Amino acid sequence: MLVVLTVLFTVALVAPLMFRRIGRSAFYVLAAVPAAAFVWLLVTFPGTQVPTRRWPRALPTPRRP
Amino acid sequence: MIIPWIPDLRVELAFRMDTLAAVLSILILGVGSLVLFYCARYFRPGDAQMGAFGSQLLAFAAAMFGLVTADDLILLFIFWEITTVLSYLLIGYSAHRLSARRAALQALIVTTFGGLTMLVGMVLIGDAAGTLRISEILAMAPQLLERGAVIDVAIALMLVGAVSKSALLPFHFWLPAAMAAPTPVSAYLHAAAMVKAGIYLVARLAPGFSESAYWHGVVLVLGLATMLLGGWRALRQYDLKLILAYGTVSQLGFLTLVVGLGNREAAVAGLGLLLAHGFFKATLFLVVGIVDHQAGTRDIRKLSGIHRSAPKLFIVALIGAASMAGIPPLLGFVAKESVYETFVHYAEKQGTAGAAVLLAGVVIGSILTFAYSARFVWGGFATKANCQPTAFKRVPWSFLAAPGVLAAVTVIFGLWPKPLDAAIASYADLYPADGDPTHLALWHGFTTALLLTVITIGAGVLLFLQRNRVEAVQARFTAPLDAERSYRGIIGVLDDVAVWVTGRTQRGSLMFYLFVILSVAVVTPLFALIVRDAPLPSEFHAFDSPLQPVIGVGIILGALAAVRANKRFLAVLMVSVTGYGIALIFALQGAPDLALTQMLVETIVLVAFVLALRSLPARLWQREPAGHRLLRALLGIAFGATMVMIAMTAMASRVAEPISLAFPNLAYEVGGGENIVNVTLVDVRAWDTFGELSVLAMAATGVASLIFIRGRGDKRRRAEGVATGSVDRGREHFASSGRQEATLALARKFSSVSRDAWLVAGRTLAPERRSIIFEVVTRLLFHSVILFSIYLLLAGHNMPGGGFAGGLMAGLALTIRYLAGGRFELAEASPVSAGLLLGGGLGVAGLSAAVPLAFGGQVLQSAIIKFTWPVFGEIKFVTSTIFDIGVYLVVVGLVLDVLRSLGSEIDERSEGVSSDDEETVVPEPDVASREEEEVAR
Amino acid sequence: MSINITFMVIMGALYACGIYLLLERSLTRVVLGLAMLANATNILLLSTGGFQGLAPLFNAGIAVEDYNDPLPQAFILTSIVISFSVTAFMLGIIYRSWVLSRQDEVQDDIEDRRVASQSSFDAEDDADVPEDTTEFTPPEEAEEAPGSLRATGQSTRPEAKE
Repeated sequence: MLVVLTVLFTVALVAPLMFRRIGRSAFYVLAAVPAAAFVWLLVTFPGTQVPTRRWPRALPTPRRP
Repeated sequence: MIIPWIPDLRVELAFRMDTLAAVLSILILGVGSLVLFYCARYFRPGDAQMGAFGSQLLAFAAAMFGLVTADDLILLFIFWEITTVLSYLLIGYSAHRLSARRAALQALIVTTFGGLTMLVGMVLIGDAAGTLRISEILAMAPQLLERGAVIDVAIALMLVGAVSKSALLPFHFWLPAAMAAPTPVSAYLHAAAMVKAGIYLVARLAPGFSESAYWHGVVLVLGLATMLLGGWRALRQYDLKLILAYGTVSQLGFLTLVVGLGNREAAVAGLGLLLAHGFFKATLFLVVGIVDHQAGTRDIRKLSGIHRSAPKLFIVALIGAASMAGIPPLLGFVAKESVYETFVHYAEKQGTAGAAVLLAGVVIGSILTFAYSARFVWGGFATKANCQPTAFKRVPWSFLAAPGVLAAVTVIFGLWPKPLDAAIASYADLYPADGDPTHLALWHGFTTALLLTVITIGAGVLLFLQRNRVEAVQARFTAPLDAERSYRGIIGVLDDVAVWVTGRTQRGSLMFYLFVILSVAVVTPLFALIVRDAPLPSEFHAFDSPLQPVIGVGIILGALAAVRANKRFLAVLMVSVTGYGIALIFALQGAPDLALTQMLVETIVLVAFVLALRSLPARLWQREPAGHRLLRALLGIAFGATMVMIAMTAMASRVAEPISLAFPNLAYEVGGGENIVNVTLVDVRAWDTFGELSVLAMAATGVASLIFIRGRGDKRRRAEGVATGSVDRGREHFASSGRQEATLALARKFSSVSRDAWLVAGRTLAPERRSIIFEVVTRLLFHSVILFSIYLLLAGHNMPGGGFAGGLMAGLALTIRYLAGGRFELAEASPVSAGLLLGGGLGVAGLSAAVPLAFGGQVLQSAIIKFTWPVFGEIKFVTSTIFDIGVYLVVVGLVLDVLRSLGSEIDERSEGVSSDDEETVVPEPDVASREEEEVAR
Repeated sequence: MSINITFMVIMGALYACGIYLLLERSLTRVVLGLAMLANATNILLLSTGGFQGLAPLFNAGIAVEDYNDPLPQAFILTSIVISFSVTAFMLGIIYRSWVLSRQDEVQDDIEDRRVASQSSFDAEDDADVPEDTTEFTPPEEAEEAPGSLRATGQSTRPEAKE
């Protein structure tokens, strides 16, 4: 996750240089980065369906009626 | 993944990808990449700001990704604020437009205000929970809620942050204004990313904290009100983008309402609605961008017939709008069905009037949504009677690709919502399961929700068909309370207060500032002394020796005379009197080095004063001294009293052994010298002295640069080229009677010799300026004084003296020569320029500091070298003497610089012959003296 | 530690006179005030040395406490020389001020005065801006300052701003 984040930020940092080189088409390059992250997300997503914590049923009922 | 960052504050770089984060990441990353793809066709090829824009947009995506995966509260806040700053930059893209600048600033201020409030809430919670980790805090939620008011307030504060970011009432006004941003920005930030951050926060906190005291009040009330208000306002807009903007406001209220409700069904429905909204809103915004790009306007009163000129665009827009309106079989419909079901069940279960109101409100809001969706489609694409068909350029496929993909996604997942449902399910499991688990499905059966949908669609169609009458009704309403006007009012008041405070405190008068500073300096230590119960001084003695009070009286009289003096040089002299008095005190107190130095310095300062002030006219001094005499006197006396009190308290508080008790032995054994003060200066505390040398060099350079304009007067003016008796002829008449004139003529004849008897360049001075006694004495003394100064330098290690005293003595010798013989004499006396002396001195001192390193010692370490010389016997040489030589050179350089600048250069200026300056002080040329010179020859 | 009253009195008087002169308008008087403040501070440092003692010239037979405290003396020496250089610098300032503007007074800061008389109306915040309905205006038609008219796009109704 940190890797994805770092890659995103790094590409954002060097983006102006890319624009100076290839002009408008640099947007395609920029679009590819989150697309790759999206693919990564889809690939790893099924494994992370663990919820954080279930609501313990034994606890007293909520305060508001 | 956890990386510790600031352990003291319990802040870690903790990331966690769970269901909620993943769902939002789908939006962030997916829509982000599509928007970036779209940008390639949106901007003109040569646009200069594209680079920054692309970079900022991608960074925004990164920051949002970080925000949703952050598991640490402070980390979340950091990403939150990064998105705020980036949104400021992105909204203000067209910085040449005032509306863009204003909108950007407005968004910045409002969201930052919310963010900071949120931070306070975060800190409160983190403090109460003992950890900043979000997952742990949520797990502890039930215990935390029992703590009472603190947690409730903290949660409410965090909600303020979410409310401001997601443009809910009363912070909604920044979102429509932010439509000044380029369309891709709106499509991304205001549909899929930034505003969703607030929703994310609500969704994140809801499983644990939805039972907190203010939760339902804030979330439900604000959410519902925003939904209705946004929908109502959207019907009044004529700008396609503004319709969408108010629609977004309304939908955000809707989303908050659903996600914050706090039960399982609402969780499923909420996330589904979140996804659906992200998809259709982005589609619609991108479509608006295409329309604007191709047609040149977004005004629905001007657009006509586009459905014929761009059919594919029309289809895409239709799909998006239909999804927004909740028409089957699109994803928007699926989500809205679930929402209806949630609220129906909620109303059934709770049975309160509030729940019924909620349900009714939701339905009304959806009706309004349908109406403005229809308005959008009609306004943008329909053929209007009173309007010509708009010129519309052909839409390239790559331009249409992005919204097309999103529209396709809307259709696909509308028909087949199962994967989304599976994805969301585990988030919903955070809630206790009561009743049947709900799903996102296209068909739930003939339920109340379906009935409500039918009602919604029907009423919406009706509202759309009656749009003219609706407009008329709306025109009659004016809002009593305008959020944006209040915002502007608040900012205006803030500005006024700031100007008022600055005007009162920043008066521009140095005297006023000094008054304030000194008053505080008087009051604060007194206050501290009283409050802190400072020890009272107990031992006093009146004087150490009976001479001290006598000298003291002299000093005080001198000081008072200096204050009251009505002539400039009298004041200077009186200040010098105090200086000499202090030198005597030094001598009595057992500080021979100090007495010597003070005496020499005072003399040179006196000379410097006279040299500098002689060109100022007397009348400047006569000008009435500044007002507020009494006040200033009081402040002065108060300050003096405060200093006395501070000194006495400081001395009474001394409890520790003075460190200087170790100095004598240290000086003799390690430093190799008997003059403890001198060893302290050049060895024990040599760094201080080195710093002092640099100050001297800087001050000397400063004086030179203030007087000279170019150069330092280093060009040597040889005395040979100067005509005899030409310098400083002056213009006063010395002789008032014939006899005196004859005397003067005789003196002139005798003193106009071509070769000097006593001083090298004394002949250059005009005869009326010369004093033969002075010249003789100078001649006799000069070399002795120089020798004595070198003696002081070398002997200073064991006897009173040292580099400072020696250098000042040498400087004094130069002063005498200058005063006796004029500037050419000074030039002859100092073959070396002042800059060279200063630099050389600093260099020598630096060398003596650095060289010990080469021998394996420390910086400025001194060594004692003993050797025998045949005639002189045993000699003990301490290397810190080299440092002292550096000091000597610097001091001589300083005095020389002062003499050259305040002496020689001002002389030349006042005679009008300076080769260096562009302006002369005395405008009239010295014609008279030149004539006399001819006569004398 | 025993306090020398004479020194305190001298110091207080010098500080008072120095501050009085420091608050003057004429630079010459300010310089004189600074010189007196420096002298006063030297007396302050000297008085922390305590009793009058022997001159700090090492002699093996003398007890360490009998010397006058050498540490403040070292400070005072530094202070004397530095205050001399500061005085010389200020004299240079006086001269330059005289040459450039024919006066040696401390001037008031006009910019500071101007801040207070600012009006409440800030064009950036308060001016009316007409609505624009399209983003793609040519740069020359885009407004730089508020109030200038737009060449394209008529304004929508002001309610849009609510």
